[in-house]
Amino acid sequence: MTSINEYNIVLCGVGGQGTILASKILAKTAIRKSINCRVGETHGMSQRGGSVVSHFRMGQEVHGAITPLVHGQVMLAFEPVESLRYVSFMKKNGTVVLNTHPIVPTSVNAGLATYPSTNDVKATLEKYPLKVIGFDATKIASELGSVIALNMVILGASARLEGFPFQANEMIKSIEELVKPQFLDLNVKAFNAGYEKATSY
Amino acid sequence: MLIDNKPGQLELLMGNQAVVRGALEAGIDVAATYPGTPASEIGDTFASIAKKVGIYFEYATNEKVAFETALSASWSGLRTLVSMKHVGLNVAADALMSITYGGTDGGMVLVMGDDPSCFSSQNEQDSRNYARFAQIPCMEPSNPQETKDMVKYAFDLSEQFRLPVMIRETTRIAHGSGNVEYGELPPRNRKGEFKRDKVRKAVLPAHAYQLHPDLLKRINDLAQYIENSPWNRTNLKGKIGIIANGNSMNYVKEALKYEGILDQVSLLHLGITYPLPAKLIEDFLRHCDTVLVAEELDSITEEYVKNMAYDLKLSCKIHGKDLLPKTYEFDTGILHRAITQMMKLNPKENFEVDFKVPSEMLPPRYPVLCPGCPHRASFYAIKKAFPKAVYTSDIGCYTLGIQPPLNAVDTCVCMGASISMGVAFSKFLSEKVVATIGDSTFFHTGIPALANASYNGSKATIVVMDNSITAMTGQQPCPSCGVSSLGEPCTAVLPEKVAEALNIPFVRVVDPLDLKNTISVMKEAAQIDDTSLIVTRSICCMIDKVKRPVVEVVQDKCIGCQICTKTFGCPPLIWDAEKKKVHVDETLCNGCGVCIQICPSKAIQGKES
Repeated sequence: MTSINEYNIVLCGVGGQGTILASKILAKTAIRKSINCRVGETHGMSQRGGSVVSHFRMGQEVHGAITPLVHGQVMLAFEPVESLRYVSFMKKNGTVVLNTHPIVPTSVNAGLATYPSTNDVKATLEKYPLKVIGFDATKIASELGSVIALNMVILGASARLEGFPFQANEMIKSIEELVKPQFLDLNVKAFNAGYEKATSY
Repeated sequence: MLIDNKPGQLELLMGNQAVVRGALEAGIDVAATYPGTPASEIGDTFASIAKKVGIYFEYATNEKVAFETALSASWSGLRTLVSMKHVGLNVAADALMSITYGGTDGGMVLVMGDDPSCFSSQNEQDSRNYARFAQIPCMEPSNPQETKDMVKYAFDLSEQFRLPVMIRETTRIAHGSGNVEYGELPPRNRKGEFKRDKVRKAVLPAHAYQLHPDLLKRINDLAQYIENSPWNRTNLKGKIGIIANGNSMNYVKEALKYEGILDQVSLLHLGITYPLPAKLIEDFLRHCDTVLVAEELDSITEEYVKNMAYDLKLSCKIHGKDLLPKTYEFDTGILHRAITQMMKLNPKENFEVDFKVPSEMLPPRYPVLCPGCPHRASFYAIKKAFPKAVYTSDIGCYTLGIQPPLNAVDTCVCMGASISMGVAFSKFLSEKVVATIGDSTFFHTGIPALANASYNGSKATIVVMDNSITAMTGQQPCPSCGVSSLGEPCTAVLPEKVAEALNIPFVRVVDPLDLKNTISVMKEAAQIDDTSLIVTRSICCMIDKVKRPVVEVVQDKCIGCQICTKTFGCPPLIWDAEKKKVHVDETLCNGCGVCIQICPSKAIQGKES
């Protein structure tokens, strides 16, 4: 096993957005590099449009599958409000890649709660404090052909972060291994689009 | 690939996949399950490889049937694994409690998916109690590699002591992934062979009386044997020690690492938690002056350790649930707090969050029925036809009918209870009672309750929401879906035929996506002073391959009544509070068209592509 410092990535969003595949791509990349890693996932009931969080952790002394509170370096937030729900996993001054496209919960539509503005979400994250790289990743994926590729856009953006443990080409190799051939082209395009988008930050 | 025979290969496996790999490396012949989170992926993985590797696999109708299928495999001299979620063993316990006396033949492994923190469960019961109750060994892996290796070992242990071996996973182990190094896959050539032994295999009172001492002898022998097992290991350092099992040890090690005291504290890692290794624990207690027993949920090990310290008059101070919670799963911060408190340290590392997100910025996001889910239409119709009923429900996706705006579930207890309790309520209450149950749950434990309704009488309306799949756990096939456990076409077993055979006087089948007819049939049932059963049949929208046009809301026609968002609540229907109109998130809509039937101003329509 390769010796490496601990690195924790928190992936959160709404069931069905593809956080699990994204965390598997990170893990596959780590394993190819012989780095010890763990992935903790959400399955079952909460998959049905509920709030979900996955964890990717790597490093020699990483044992558990869940990031200890206030120990996450990077958050990949697939949905704005969900970034706030799991913010306590984050280290101060960590980085959030934030998809600014909301999925409004039924509680809001039924008039039982309100949904905050994107600016308020960003401001709250910045107050934590966290560095926020926010853009509409759903729109990018949708324009490329399918919102399903949202997870690749976010992953692509993460590869651009300073100090991120993996290079873009290493992650693309994992995408090739894990994504079905008929969706590969779309997924790689989405990854590259996310990478380009984050370049401008 | 999970079935590659490449010893030394490193793969990313989820705990549940590692279970299957371990079973393959042990040369498994037969696997059975009833799906249940967090154990579901064990069955799903077996289903995906069974044909290729030539093993028998089935999704049984319930956990008891799955357990008895595995037991028959064992008594055929075959190696077998049965998996279920923790509460599944409540259903299978009848078989488990009885067969330990006579014991197993071919290696039999029972994998339990426990769920501390109730992520997907109705309780947090700790399966270790069942291991102690039934007198079978319990092993608890702490990562995917150990999971694979323990399962393989468990088959040998089972055959040596003629007992089923429990592997207890918790949600974090079952759904945690990590590196796993493959071992060898053995050649497979076992044939089923039944060895007649009436004393062991027919648990008549006289036989059971004779065999109980034999069970105790086997578990005591096993306790001696596992004293030197590599799964229980001590690392003796300072006078302060921690005893932990499974995943708890991960948190212990991380808490010690962060605090920089990993080399000061003695550790006893328990991989086998029933029976406990007496000598190893005694030596550990004699080495330490203060010990923390760290175990999620029940204080089973702690009580054992305290009893031992009392019996041996040891002066070691023993902590456990005085410093750690008895409910919910642990995390590193919880262990860090308990350890630093026990050691009276001024903590260097911080796990406390000093930032609070204002609650108005966190709208709740309950799990809800999927966009286009036929259950939503069934519930909507129920509320129209039975506006003031008592609604009993059951375990499955349709439990989500409890959420606003449907509010169509009053009770949910355990598999099958919707019918038995609905039937009973209908005799105790003046209101109408509507029981909702899915097709898979109907076959699981609903049928005996329906027979009871027919025999003892009832006035309840039972709605079998038949989406032809076990949906909540990941779309596994079940008797009503016309597809076998391995995906081959087969004859579907229909709930309405069962109801007719049980003499239920009013039985109807409707398509819930046709709201008008569904409501009308339900209103008819509401008039009947006897048991009625309505099957609302529409395929689960997650497996429905038909592409339908999404809907749109014609803004000029929308009168802002919010009937669609406040009584139906399909997620793509978005209320715009400023414009006072509803619009559709097309990325979510699956085009079921039910909302078109609800809108009083005909503002919702299919969108022309």
